[in-house]
Amino acid sequence: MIVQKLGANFNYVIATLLFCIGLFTVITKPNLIKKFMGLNIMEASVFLFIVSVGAVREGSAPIVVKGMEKGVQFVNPLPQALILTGIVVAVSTTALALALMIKLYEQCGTLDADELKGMEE
Amino acid sequence: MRKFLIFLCLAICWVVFLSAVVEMPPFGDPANITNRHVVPRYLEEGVEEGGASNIVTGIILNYRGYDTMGEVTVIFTALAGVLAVLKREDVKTSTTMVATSPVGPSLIVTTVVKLLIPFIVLFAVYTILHGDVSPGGGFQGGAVFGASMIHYTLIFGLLTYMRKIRLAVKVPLESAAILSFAIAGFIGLFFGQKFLTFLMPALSHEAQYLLRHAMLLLIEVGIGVATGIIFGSIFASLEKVERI
Amino acid sequence: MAGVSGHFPILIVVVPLVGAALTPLIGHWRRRLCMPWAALVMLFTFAMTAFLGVRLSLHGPIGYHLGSWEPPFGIEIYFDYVAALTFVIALFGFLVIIFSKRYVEKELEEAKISTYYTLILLILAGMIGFVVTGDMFNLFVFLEIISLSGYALIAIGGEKLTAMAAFKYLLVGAISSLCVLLGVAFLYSITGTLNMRDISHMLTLTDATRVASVALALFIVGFAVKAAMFPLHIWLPDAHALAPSPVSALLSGLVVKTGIVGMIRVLFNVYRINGPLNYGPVLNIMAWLAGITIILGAFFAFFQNDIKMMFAYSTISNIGYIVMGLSLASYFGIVGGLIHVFNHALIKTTLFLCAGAIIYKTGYRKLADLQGIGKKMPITMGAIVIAAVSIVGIPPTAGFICKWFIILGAIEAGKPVLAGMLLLGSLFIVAYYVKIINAAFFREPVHEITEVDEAPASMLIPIVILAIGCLLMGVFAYAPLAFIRPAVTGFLR
Repeated sequence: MIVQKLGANFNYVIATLLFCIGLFTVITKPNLIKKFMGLNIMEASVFLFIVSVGAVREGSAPIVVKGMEKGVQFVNPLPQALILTGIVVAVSTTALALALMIKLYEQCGTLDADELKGMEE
Repeated sequence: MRKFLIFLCLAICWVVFLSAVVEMPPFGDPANITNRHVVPRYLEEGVEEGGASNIVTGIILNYRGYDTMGEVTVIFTALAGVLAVLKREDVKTSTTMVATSPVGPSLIVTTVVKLLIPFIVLFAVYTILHGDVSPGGGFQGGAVFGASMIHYTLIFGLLTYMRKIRLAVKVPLESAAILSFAIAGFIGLFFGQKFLTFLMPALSHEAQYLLRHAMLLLIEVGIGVATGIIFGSIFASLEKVERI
Repeated sequence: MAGVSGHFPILIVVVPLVGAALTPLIGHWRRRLCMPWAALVMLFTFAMTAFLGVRLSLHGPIGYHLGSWEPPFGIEIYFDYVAALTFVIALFGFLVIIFSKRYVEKELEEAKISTYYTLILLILAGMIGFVVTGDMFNLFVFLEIISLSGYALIAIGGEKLTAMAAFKYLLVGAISSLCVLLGVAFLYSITGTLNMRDISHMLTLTDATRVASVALALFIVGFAVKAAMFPLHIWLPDAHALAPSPVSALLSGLVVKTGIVGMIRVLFNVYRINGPLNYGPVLNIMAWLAGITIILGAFFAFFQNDIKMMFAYSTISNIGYIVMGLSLASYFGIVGGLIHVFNHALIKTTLFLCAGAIIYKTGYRKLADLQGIGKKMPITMGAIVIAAVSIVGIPPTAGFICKWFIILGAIEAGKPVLAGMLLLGSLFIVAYYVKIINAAFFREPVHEITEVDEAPASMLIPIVILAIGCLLMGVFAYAPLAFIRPAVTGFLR
């Protein structure tokens, strides 16, 4: 029963798994760029999740074309609109993070979290 | 050992997520609450009310235009953040790895890029203007536009880019998205409507739709231009190397 | 709702946003005009929030439907009693901008000045938008505006380690934002809407309580990071201590409060206390963590040498008070927590601005170097003493009322141990403020800081205004209750 339900909600299973994988990467990898890649995985997982919420089986893209017959099943357009916002936010965060990493390298000469920790003292 | 503990914690997290996933409405079912509660209005009235055949565009610009205004602010914030951390490139002090490399770009590369860039920009314009009838819109087109500038800078170097797009042009265009949203919003206030209203009942039927079309176009173009220029500026700022 | 004043709920967000968008242009034209421009924009915003505050107290909450779409379809701005915090944000923003003038001229490169004011206006606009919005996704968008400008402002100074503090904050902050977004997604999947009041209504109809609980957990984790609660506070001390002082004042006084406001929105506006979902255990866990936060924050603060580091840890401790008050979920607890949101914003802004003035004048930030500073900068140190006395909570001052209410709340909720933790934390707080005052007034100076005198007027005026505010809040401690009481009654209904 549970397996069946999980099978039906396969997208969410994968999205949440990716979320955890991304978090694992962020926590365990010492290199800051790799940490940030983990964050990007998490972002992608959340986007996948939200888009999946809006999916409708056999649904077509929500673009109304002239002469289209009534009662066509569209997918849910709202999550797609939200994800566009989400992606833009993710891009902005990435840009700022890269800038900070460049500055960090200028200041400390390394991007390794363990070495940076030693520098703090 | 530490890694294993973290792995264990996250595995538990995933199981907790799964316990919620089991209870979630089935994937892709048209009978889900998400397809019954708010969205039918968008799908049924969206073209008429929202002003775009592409309902996603209608939602982005019209129903949830305020979100999009926040979104363009986020990009603008990212630019301001990058400039705060790294400073803007400067003709006097900045250079790039490309410019200092002993081997210049080959003739083939420069020719191909020169030929390609007008088409990339054309595609960007097309994507921006066709956002209301097909997949596309300001952000997508703006990203393509930004890509063309990044392309150009990579091959011809930062100095040429700086000479082509001067600071006095760049600075106002970077703010264009927020300002075009504000202008469109204040048109609504001017007619006694709420902020970001697109249909003004005070006008005649034709004038209303014409005005809405103009406002949506203004916003799309504003977003497109600003996104492109901002991407270019962010890239230039990241790419520059201080000349010693 | 006649005339322009009917549009104030949106204008308080849009005016600073447009102001921020125009700042680079003005900076490109005349660099010196950036600061007056930013101050003018915030003054204007402040006037509008004051007007809205008065209107709120007379006529109750104001809803504003953007684009004329009725709520579940469009985005709604809901100026309720919690949103009265915008008044504080606009006022303190204005004062911080005034204070920044000299500080920025000394500490920042020419080219970064217009960027600095742009980011300050953006972070203020973001906070105002965050507090007034009535839409879950919009909340996330404004959260991102606040966070991004916050990360950048920390690193704007360019001293060593600032980029690392900012990056640490960015990493943790981005994860917390994603938690909030995932929470929104879970909620959307079972309610089909994004409007807070509509979600709250739809939650009573759904039977997917486990999804709702997981979403709640994600929200709490996300906002707890922003508010720097105990296991998730690691980013705060570095970020707040290394940022330029006016920025520290904003971050510590106001930005951490957005985490608190987020929690309030989620706990009391979306999942209501008397709603279908019994989330008592979550509140219990939060209350205990808050207790630990109080003690640990105060404990670490005591062992710091750097005054800004001390204030940063003190912020963690005080966030503990607020969260404890809220999570007691009893009338007195929530009232105490909400008053403390306001009081702590006032006091911590004062303290960080004073620290900024001292660092600006002397260049020293370690307590050992600053011995005897009280004789050289009597007004600034006097303001620190006033703020310290307020935060410690000696009876006639502002801090006393909130702690008293929170203790009452803890006893009302049958958790006297929490009240004990709160008192223990207060003892530590007394200890470290005594340490500062002792060093500043009763020790002989170690350095020859003879040429140091009082800070310039543009720094002293905001400090004095805020210090007077601290005193007044002690006398009129019940003034914020005009907004807080109806808010709490609404939560508990």
